[in-house]
Amino acid sequence: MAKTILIIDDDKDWVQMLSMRLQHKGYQVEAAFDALQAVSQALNLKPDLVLLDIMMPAGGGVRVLKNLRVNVNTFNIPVIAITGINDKQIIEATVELGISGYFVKPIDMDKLLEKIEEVLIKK
Amino acid sequence: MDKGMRILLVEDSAVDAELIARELAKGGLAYTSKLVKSKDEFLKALGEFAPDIILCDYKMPGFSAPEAREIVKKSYPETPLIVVSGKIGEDVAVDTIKLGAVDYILKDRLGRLVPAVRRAIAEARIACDIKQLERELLLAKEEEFRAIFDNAVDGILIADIESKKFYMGNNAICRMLGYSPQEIKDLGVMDIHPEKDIPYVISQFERQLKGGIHLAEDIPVKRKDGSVFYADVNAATITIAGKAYLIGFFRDITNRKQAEDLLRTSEEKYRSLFLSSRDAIMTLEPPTWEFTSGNPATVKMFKVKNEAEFLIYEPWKLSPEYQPDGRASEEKAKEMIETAMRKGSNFFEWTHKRANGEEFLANVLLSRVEQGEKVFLHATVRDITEHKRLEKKLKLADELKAATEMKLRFTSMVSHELRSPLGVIKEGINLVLEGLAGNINDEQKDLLDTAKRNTDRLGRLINNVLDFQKMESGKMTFDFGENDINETVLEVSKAMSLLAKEKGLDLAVDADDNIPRIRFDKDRIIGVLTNLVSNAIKYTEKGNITISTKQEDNMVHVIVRDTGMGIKAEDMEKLFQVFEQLDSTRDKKKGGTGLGLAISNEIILAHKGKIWAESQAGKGSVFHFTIPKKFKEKKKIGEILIGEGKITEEDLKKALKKQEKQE
Repeated sequence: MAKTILIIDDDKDWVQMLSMRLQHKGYQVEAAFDALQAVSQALNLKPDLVLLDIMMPAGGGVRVLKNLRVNVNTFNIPVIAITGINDKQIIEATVELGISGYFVKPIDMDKLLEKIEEVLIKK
Repeated sequence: MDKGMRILLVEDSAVDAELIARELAKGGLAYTSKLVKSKDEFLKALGEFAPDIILCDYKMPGFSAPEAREIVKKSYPETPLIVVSGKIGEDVAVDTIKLGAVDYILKDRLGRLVPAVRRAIAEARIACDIKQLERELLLAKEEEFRAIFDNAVDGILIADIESKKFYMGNNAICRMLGYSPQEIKDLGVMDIHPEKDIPYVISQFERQLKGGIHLAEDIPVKRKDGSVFYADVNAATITIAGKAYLIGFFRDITNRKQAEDLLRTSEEKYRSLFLSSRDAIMTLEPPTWEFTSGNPATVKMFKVKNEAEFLIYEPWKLSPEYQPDGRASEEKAKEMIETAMRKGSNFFEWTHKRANGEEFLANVLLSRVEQGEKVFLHATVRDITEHKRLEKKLKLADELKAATEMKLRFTSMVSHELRSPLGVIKEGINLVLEGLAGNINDEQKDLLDTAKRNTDRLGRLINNVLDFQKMESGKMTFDFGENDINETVLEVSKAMSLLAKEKGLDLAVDADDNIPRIRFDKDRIIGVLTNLVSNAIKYTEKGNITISTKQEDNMVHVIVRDTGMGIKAEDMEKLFQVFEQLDSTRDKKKGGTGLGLAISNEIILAHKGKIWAESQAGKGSVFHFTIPKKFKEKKKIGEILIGEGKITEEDLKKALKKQEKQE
């Protein structure tokens, strides 16, 4: 069965590109564009992997991650974080919450796809 | 007063006695008399009758006036004796006067008797009164004396001049010395002074005796318990019951001495401070407010020849005519002085002028000082020109830091904003290029390739800007790891191959396979290589570009060689500097931010390596950089300690040493 990936990112254009890329790779892709959507989508969908934009406005990215982790239905879902600024503090905070990898924009698409595969196989 | 006068008559002649009695009665004297004829009777009567006056015949059988006189003188010296005699002889008169008879009356001149008696009695009474008075006075004096003596605050000692032993001492001295009044009487001068000082004390004692001095100062005095205090001793000679003594008043000057010592110490301290202080210290006195002293630092500060020269000035004379606030110096100075006098102190900024005309900014502290009657001002002046300069520098540095940080935050945000859409564009192009949005023809491919190339370029430019910002603010971070330099070189050459091919240039790699893995930041070195190779491509129209790697003793050496237009000799210096693009003709078409080489330089330096270029105009360029094989990046203390585990003082010291070694 195809693996589901939930993309949580407020940049719709970027999500469009990424979705196309992932779908071509054979994944089922869903998207959420804000924190609220994100959590409910995650609960409904129970995706195999989450691609999370940490840099969503008002600390939304980190909050979503926290929420996923505290919720019994979602705490297990692997999350790959995507961040725009190479901020050590933010990265450390997210690593503490438990992520499977992080990528800093500009994203090396090949590497990202590699990582996704790696994480899903592990699962 | 005539009443009850008792007259003793010593006369052997009854007739004469009768005559005398009649004369006395005639004179109106109230008296009782007794007649005696012999020595024995005389003696008896003296005791029993207790006469007030004796009238005595000169010569009687077995007795005479002189004899009687002797007796009276011995036992009743205040009782007057009048000789009443028949004989007249000069020698008799002289005799009797010699004996102290009050008067001499001739028997055949008895008229004189009564007045003589009256006079004698009166005189005797007066003498008696005087004696009484003297006695009373003496008694009173002694009481008074005792009162003063006993209650004096000063210690008083009376010493025998010969033996130098104490006759007595008052309560105060007893307290001072710790002896009882009784014990004092057994002591002498020798006992109450420290042995080594005795010669001196004795010499002062002698001088006081002779009347040479009265006050002996700073005399060390030894107490019963052996402790010593200092006293001023005021002495004078006195006579007591006919014997000569020296009376000494002892004032304990320990307090005064301590105060003097303190004053001397503080004066010494002040003096030493005055002389050695680097701040200018000076004093000024009313009413003219001329300077009355100035320490060496003052002389130096105002560039006068010496202190004497300094003293001719008033504060406003060593200032420009106007202060920076526009006020006249003389007027403002007087106001500052007045405030200091009124409030006790005044601290303010002041522009002074040295003797050579040079103006300088200073901090001035005026303090009012009272020394007894005298009131004056003490001033400390500190040249703050340097301080102000430093302040300005610091302020600028702070502002710069703040501005740089703001810039960094701004550019970080901006570059993030720029990168996001760029990412989308790139991905969009890639998706189409890869055919995921359908097949594309050659023309479309070509256009998309161009677009992609330019998005890459844009990406690099954004990176450069951000790197540059980080570099400027010292916040460039590195991620060192064990890497293969050849691998990195190959990666870059692959990425740049398209670019080279499009220009018809040959890009080749010549790697030394024996190079071991070394420690470097892969992404950053990729950045450096990309920079060098893209420059090579940019400035080469035809020919080739070679990237080679080789090992040297303790370095890994990378070379990027091209057959391009080369670099002019005069431009070689500016090569790695920021914004230094080399002449407009060369670069106008080439574009670029001028940041690349500067950033590459920074990166290589952070690896403790070297980067340089060899080139000649028209003969191509060779860019070199080296990375040390044994490279230890600077670990911060925190990191060193975490490795060590539990932290003790020893650990900290060792860690600091380690850190120092790295530097």
